[in-house]
Amino acid sequence: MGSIVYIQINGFAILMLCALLLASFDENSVADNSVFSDLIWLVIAVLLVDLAAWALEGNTAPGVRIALYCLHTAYFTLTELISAEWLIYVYEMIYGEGAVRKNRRLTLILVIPIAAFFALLCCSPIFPSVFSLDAQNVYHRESLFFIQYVIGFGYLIAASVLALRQRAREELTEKKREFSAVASFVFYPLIGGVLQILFYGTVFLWPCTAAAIFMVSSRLHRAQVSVDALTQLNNRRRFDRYLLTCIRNTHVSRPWHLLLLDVDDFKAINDMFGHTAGDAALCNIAQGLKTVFGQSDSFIARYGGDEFAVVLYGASDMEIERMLAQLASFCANTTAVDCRPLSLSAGYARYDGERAMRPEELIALADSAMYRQKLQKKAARTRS
Amino acid sequence: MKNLIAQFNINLLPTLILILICLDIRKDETRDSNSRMFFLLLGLQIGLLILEPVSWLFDGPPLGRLVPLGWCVNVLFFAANILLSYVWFLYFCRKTHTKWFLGRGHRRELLMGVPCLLVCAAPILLPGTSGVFYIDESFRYCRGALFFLPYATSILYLLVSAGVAVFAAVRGRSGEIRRQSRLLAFAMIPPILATLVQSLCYGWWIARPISALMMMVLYLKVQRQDVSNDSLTGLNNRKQMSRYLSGKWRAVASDSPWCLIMIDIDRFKSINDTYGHTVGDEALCRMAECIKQTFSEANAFLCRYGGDEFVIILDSDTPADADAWIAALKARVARENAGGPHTYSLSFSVGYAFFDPARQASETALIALADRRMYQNKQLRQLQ
Repeated sequence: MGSIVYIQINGFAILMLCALLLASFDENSVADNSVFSDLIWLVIAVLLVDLAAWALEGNTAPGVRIALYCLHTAYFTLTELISAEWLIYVYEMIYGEGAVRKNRRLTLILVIPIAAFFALLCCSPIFPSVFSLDAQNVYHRESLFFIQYVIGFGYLIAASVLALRQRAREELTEKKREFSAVASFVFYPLIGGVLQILFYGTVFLWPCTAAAIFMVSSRLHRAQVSVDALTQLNNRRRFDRYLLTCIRNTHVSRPWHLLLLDVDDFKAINDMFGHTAGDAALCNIAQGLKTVFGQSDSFIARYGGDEFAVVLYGASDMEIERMLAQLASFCANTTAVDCRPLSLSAGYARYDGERAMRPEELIALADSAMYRQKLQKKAARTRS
Repeated sequence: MKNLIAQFNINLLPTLILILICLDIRKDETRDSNSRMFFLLLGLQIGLLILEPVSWLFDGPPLGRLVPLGWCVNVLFFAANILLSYVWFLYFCRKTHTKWFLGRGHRRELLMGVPCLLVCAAPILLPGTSGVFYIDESFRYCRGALFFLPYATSILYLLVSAGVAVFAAVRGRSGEIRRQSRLLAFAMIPPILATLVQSLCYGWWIARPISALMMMVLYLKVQRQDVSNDSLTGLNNRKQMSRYLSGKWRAVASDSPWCLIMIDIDRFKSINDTYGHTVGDEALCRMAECIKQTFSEANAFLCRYGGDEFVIILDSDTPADADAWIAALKARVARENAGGPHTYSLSFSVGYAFFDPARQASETALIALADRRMYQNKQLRQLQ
């Protein structure tokens, strides 16, 4: 394939990654994560090195030979670094920032194979094992060429396994999707690599990897705009959209309930014990909601400051009452703020699509049911 | 065959990116006409990226022997190309709110589609060597006498679109429209250049990849921004505000003065508690609508800051000018209250602070000052 084509392919990938980097940079989103932006920089570097090696191939001018050895060594090393960086990214996504440095064993798993491979590459001029250059400075593969795939795909597959394991642990659909996307990352370079081997002279590996990076970053952005940062539940905007689709797609045979829950006297907790205590209480309640409603077909969201909303499919009124009782006991047991047990007021409304309703009407119904309960509680308290 | 593989290889990454964007957009439950049009643009562009290498298949034997089929593929390719440019033009008109084309029942918009139709029909109306293209005796594709017609029309549409964007960037109604239009105008430059290069230099198939890249940038910067606005009121959210504010802060050199206005709805909590959340949400939307309409002519950034707080960053010369804008907002809210039977009347407290780097250490100090003045205003009003 001509060098113009080569420049176009790699050039486009570089431009596209730069655009992604710029966009996420002033969006403050993915670039918050320096590991991810490092990953993008590494791929840009590998594309440039690849292009330079291609341009110098077969050139016998003095000095070119050394340059080619350096470029090929850099190319192979960068390839492995990219895979390792991806594994680090996935690991820290699950276990928190800086988790890799704390894990000795993982650090060794990451460092040793790459260091060994690098040493092997450095010996290439004397002892060609991975690649060699002939008298015309043309590149050839050698017997240990496959090692780069073993190490690279080893890391990528490990990252996918981690992501799949975490996916099974998550309750929230949005989070599950996020990890599905992360787990599917490996397929892009895999398919690209296979195509590149099948059709000699084509360039598919890096374009496919660049596409995978784009896929992951847009998936993460979507998760970011639909998940509430504090409680990790769905946020209000996601809820609004979800409710609208639910109402549109309701079938008479499959009715569902909308539940609204409100923390009693939340303002008092915030005022008396500070915002940190209030935030902790909200997180505990979110955990309670996940435990109680997470098993059934449900959608859980943080609706407002101290309010939560649940869309629950296929439950009878009695089952809902049972679940709410379960939730009440969960809150009473675990979310005590300074010996004061928390309580929730709840209201719900059923929707079966027989009479078309707007989301606002349905929310108003559930809301008024909730306020009735709140008033009853207040009345009971003043009486006692 | 060589051309086919090369072009397929070049177009692969752009195609993948656009398909990923399509998948991402499909996940949005609520879609407005703008995003539907963007979807159409994506579809057409993907079609072109696939058709381009396919058209090489019919260039010469063996498949070239199927002359009618090859002819159809080429006509389809030209038609999709022109149609894409026309839809770009429509998209630009909508995004920039260009009244001149959008008014009068879209008559002018449709009129602009006439060249598109004519060029699509050209291969049928003008067959043979005098037309856009023809297929010679050895089944090869050849340029006709009018081969430049599709290119020229396409570039013409793009130029008109760029013109529309430049005009709106200077004369647009609100600061937001001007900002977006500026971006759109810049985004048009690379595809126009790429189309020129491709029509002049053989082997540089960059027109479509570069347009795909531009679509990606627009998706990241324009389409996706709409998604990250505050879902209830459609104003900018707090995160976008802090980004805008820090940008404004850094541009100290621009000596045009500006101020930050903080607005808080009076007794919002009691509206929420007395009438329920649906009414509370409605109050927020009405307030947001008043703000939008009042400041549509100003150079202002509008944002929902928190629950019932709004922030306006206004380019304003003097406190008297800012006071005049606030008076205008008060009048607008008074009209809103008089406008219909509402269970509550809307009112707000307001405070503002002018940007003064000598006195305020940071963005937070400016916000805090405006906030403090707003509270003073609130207390004063309650005393009365």
